[in-house]
Amino acid sequence: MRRRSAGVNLMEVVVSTNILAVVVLLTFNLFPGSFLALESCRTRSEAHAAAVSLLEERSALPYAAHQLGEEKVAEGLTLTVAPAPGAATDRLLELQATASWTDFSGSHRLTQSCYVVNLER
Amino acid sequence: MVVCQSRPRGATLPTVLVVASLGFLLAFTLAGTATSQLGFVNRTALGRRAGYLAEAALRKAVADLMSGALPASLTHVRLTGDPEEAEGLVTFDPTIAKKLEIPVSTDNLASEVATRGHGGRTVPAESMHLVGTGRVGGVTRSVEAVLHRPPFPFVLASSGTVRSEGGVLIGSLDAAGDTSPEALLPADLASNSRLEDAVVLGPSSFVAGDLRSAGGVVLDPTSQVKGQTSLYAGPLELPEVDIAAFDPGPTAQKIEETYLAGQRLVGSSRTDADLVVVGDLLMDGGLLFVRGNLTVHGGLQGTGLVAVTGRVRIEGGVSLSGANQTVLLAGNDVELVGFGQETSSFQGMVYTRGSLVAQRITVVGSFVSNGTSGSVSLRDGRAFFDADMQTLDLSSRKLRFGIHDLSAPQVVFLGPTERPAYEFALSVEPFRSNTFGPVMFRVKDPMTGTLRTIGDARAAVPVLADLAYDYARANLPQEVKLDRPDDWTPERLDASEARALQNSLQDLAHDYAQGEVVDREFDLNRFLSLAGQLRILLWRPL
Repeated sequence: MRRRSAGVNLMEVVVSTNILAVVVLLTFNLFPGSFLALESCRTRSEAHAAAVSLLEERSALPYAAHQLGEEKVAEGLTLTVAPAPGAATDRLLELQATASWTDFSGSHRLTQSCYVVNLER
Repeated sequence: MVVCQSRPRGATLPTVLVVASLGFLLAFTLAGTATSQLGFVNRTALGRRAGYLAEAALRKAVADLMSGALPASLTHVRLTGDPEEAEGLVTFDPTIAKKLEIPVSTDNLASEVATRGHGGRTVPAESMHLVGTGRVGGVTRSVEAVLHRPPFPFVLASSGTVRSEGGVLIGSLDAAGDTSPEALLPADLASNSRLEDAVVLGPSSFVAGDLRSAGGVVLDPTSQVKGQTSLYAGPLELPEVDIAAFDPGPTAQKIEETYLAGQRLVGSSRTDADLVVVGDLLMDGGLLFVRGNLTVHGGLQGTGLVAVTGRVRIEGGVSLSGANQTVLLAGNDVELVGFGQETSSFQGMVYTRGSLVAQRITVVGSFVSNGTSGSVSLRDGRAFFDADMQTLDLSSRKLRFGIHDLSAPQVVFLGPTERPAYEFALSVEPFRSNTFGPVMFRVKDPMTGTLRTIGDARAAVPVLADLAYDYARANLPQEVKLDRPDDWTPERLDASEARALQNSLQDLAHDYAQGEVVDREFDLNRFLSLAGQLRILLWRPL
């Protein structure tokens, strides 16, 4: 008796092809999305770090060194010194660091703020 | 024979399934990494925002406080760029703190004793413990700060220049009163002059604390500043004292003479003319107001406040003693001229709207020159800081205690002329509980700041003896052992000493009954804004 040879039959080829097609489609969809998300995350993280760094640097200055108004510190990075709500400007000021950038998904803007008080450390 | 040869079976489907699984794993790992990275970045950013909110709330509370507002029951802030639900909070109200589930802040500014704040934090006397909480996106951060209102820390402070000709010694004395540079504790010097030579210190000058100048500093190469030297620093806020506000008015005893000699000044006295004092000016808890110039051919002895609208010249000085403390306020120049820094001294506080010149004299206390033409000049002098000299309560009297022999220490009540090896003073304030009631005493515990009320002079004697013993034991130099015998009781005070102490208290009660104890307090810090007084002791995330 001759056993039937166990070669690749049509059914196996069809199933395998379908599975591979689904995997390839899914993978190819996930990869760019993930990479773009990571890239966006990195840019946002850098923007936040730049804003925080600017705030730390400026809030360490003597109180008298702060001038009300907006200042462009670098490309895409501005610092605004504004009166803090409900307080005299000779006592309390709000520093706002705003980072702006553009990526694949459009334009973005991030603002981080802090208060500075007129009190010697 | 039939050979059954099995053809190798293909592995297509299992291989595909394995490859597919690996592909899925890779894809989802990547997606997961991206998601968790996003989450981490967001959480870090939210944490930072919450931290800024906590600090902002804390700073807003400090700003409100400095503006003269009492600490609000709740300080609530929001920062530009934060999400809607973000908030920074500070509260001094335990009920609100409990309701909002945030730490409570503690206001201990008006107290003279330490207390406990949130988290068991020790809040020193005249301090405030603030805890700011920031909340955003489910992330909470807290920041704590301790603000303290210390005494004005400058032994010499001037709106103008500070000059020394020859060596000058600036520092704080320790309990033993050692004046050698190695033994001096820090005391600071400040000038608000913006000149390049705002502070000039001559050869061999020594500053045990910090030197702060709004301009430059010229130091002789042999001079030394032990603390920090700050050049071109922001101007220091100096006290603004209104001399005329110390005029006691027509109810005060009027001095008609131009010359005074050997008179003991008690209560309030005033004159509208220049006054010359021949010999020492003896102050006994009194207030002297001169609408003119004052010249003293001697030193200032005793305790009192002298307010002069014009110039002051003091030609002489007294030897250092715990019994001397004068607050001298002048609307114009002040000259303190002694006979030598070892023999002549001025103890107290000098505030002038003009310049201050000290020659051949040791000055102990705080010395402030704050006027448009203000300056400080020291010639062959020494300046020692003593924070106790910045406050004077003329409604109380200081009773002197001391130890004559440090090798066999025994605390004794001192007579006016006694000069012991170690001395200190206890403050006693007479008062009446009602208009017709007897004169009673309030005794202040110098270590805890608590007040004890005592009905009469006899009862006050053992209380004062007890306090004096405790104070001496806690403050004597380490090498001096003052052991209280187990059977020691205040009643064991020497009979003659107890009598002298009781007599002194009875005299005080008598003076008070006769209206000769002035009800007036002076505190240099009161003439500074709260912003000028407060210092940050601690500022850190919780």
